[in-house]
Amino acid sequence: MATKSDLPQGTLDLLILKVIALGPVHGYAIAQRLQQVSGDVVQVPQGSLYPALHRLENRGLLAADWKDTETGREAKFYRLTRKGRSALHAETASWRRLSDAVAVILRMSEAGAE
Amino acid sequence: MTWWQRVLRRGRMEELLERELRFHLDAHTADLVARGVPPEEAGRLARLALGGPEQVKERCRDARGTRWLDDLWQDVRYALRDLRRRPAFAAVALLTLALGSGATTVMFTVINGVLFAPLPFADPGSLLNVEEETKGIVDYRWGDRWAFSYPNFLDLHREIRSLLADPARPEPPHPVASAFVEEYFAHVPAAWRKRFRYQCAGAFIEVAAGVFRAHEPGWPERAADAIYRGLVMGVEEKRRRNEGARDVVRTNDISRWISRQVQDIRDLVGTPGMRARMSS
Repeated sequence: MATKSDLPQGTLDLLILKVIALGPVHGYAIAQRLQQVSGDVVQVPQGSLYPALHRLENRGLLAADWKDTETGREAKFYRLTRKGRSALHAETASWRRLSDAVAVILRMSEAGAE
Repeated sequence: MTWWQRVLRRGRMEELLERELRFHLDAHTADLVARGVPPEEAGRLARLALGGPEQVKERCRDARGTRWLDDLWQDVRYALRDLRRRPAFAAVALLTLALGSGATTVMFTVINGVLFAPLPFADPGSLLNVEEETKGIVDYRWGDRWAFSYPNFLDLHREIRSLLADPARPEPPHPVASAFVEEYFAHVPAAWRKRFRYQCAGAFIEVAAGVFRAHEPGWPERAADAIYRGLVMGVEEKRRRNEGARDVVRTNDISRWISRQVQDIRDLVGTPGMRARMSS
């Protein structure tokens, strides 16, 4: 079983936007999908998931509709707006820059230790 | 959904939030049951994973951006209930607020009137504070500066020429016009010059403009006539002429100003025998 890790601060919004970019989805499915895709490494704080969804909705990055699920129950499905798609691109680029920079620093540290 | 819609449809928003969280808990519980967890335990685990529902709802309301309005409304209702329950306290609180607001308003009004609002005069920047200074008399509290008495002010008002802009009194000539006047003033006989300098700026201008035509035959008579007319001119006529000249000078149109003066002299000159009256 993979070791679970807390999400780095500020990345939940990015991950939510990314999952929703693949298609309309409800809150529970977002949490499930993040855990599945990360091989259970990413621990989604469910108590933070809905406030984040509502915040993104209020910022106009997400829109929501109530629709029936496969089980016939009605659920709130979130989808990405145009503004949300732009934000996703910007956030992704920013994250890549940061992770690349961190990786470079870590590699330097390893080389220095040898 | 706009901000106002979120405020006005608060009840509906709460209902949808409740339904959304309920769906999450049910879906999670169903998943756990499908994996073999007993239903009761599955429900407990699902609630544990989500956290306290009220806390989650509060954070969702915060994210909605209308929380402060809900809090304000609750505070107002609580305050009104409390005030109704304790009328004496309510009266003291209202009195305190009234006095506080009144005192603040008075202070602001005074500060605004004294420090910020412009003085109710046409050109407040040119106002002067006039004091009297005594030589050798120094009060231990007030020094050698004294308030100005009204009769002294009247004297000053009558005599001073450089500070007070009074439409009934002529202003000093424009620098360019003054140079023009000085150039032609050299042709005026010394005796006239003395008399001329004694007079007000209005007469100064008119005489100078008269001298402008000094190369023409008979100029001394016409200049004398102009001086005489300038000296005996009524106060109202002087005021009118000075006002007209001032308007022209204000626009910096010196050539127009000079033309006007020349025209005035032309109007004045024409009566023969003035020189005799001047010399008499």
